[in-house]
Amino acid sequence: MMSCREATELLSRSLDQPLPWRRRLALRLHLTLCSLCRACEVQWRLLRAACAAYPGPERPVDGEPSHASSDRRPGP
Amino acid sequence: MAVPVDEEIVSHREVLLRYARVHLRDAAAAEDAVQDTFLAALQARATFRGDSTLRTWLIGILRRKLVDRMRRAGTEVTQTDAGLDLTADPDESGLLARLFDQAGHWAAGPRTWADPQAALEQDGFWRAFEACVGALPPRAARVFVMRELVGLGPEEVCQECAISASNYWVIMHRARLRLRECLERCWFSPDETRGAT
Repeated sequence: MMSCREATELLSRSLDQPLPWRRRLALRLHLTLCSLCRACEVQWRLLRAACAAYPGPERPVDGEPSHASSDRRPGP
Repeated sequence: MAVPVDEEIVSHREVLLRYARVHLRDAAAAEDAVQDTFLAALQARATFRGDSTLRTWLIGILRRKLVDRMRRAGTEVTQTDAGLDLTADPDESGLLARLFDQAGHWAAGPRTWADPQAALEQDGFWRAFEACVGALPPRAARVFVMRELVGLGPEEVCQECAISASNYWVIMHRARLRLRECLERCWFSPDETRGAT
């Protein structure tokens, strides 16, 4: 069986392009057996979702107008 | 290749804006740079040759606008755009040795993150997110941002960052490993110690 290190390489690659079927199958087998790599997959999918949802550096702070965001201070 | 019509050019606005924001960090300036790009593209569209995608062509124009703008503002251009440092990032070789043992198994495996969707609603998460992306080695940060935040395709990223495809796979693999580790440490389980479970 492939190592976790190799599995994460394939997993990362599969986020960018479809894998050839042999590699896809080998990766799926590894993921079936390895809960750590499954956790990694879930995290990487969340990472992608986070990137897509990223509100940008000038996002408004909850309930405050956006001009406050550049000079944010902790409340009292 | 047909000359692109206005709608086709303007349909790339969102990606161009994201690209500009990465470089300018100022929404209004980014908006201006994209407007300048559209004007230039509309004037020059007859010169679009179709040997790159329309988006790549537009990004090429935008990049020149950004360099002009940063030069005018006296901002250091080398670090951000024109001269990407292609020397190997320090600490890269140590990463895999730290995360995986000799046999390639996780040395310190990922944990299950509690309620990750809720994190996306919280400002603290986004601060951790920005800190983690900012903590990537410079070249990795640039490649990752181009792919995941700007939304370029892998081939476009390779072109933009002047790297080979195999470089791209290595950089993205390590960047993703670093980011999941960093987010876990900074946000998802900041006060748990490793090996406690």
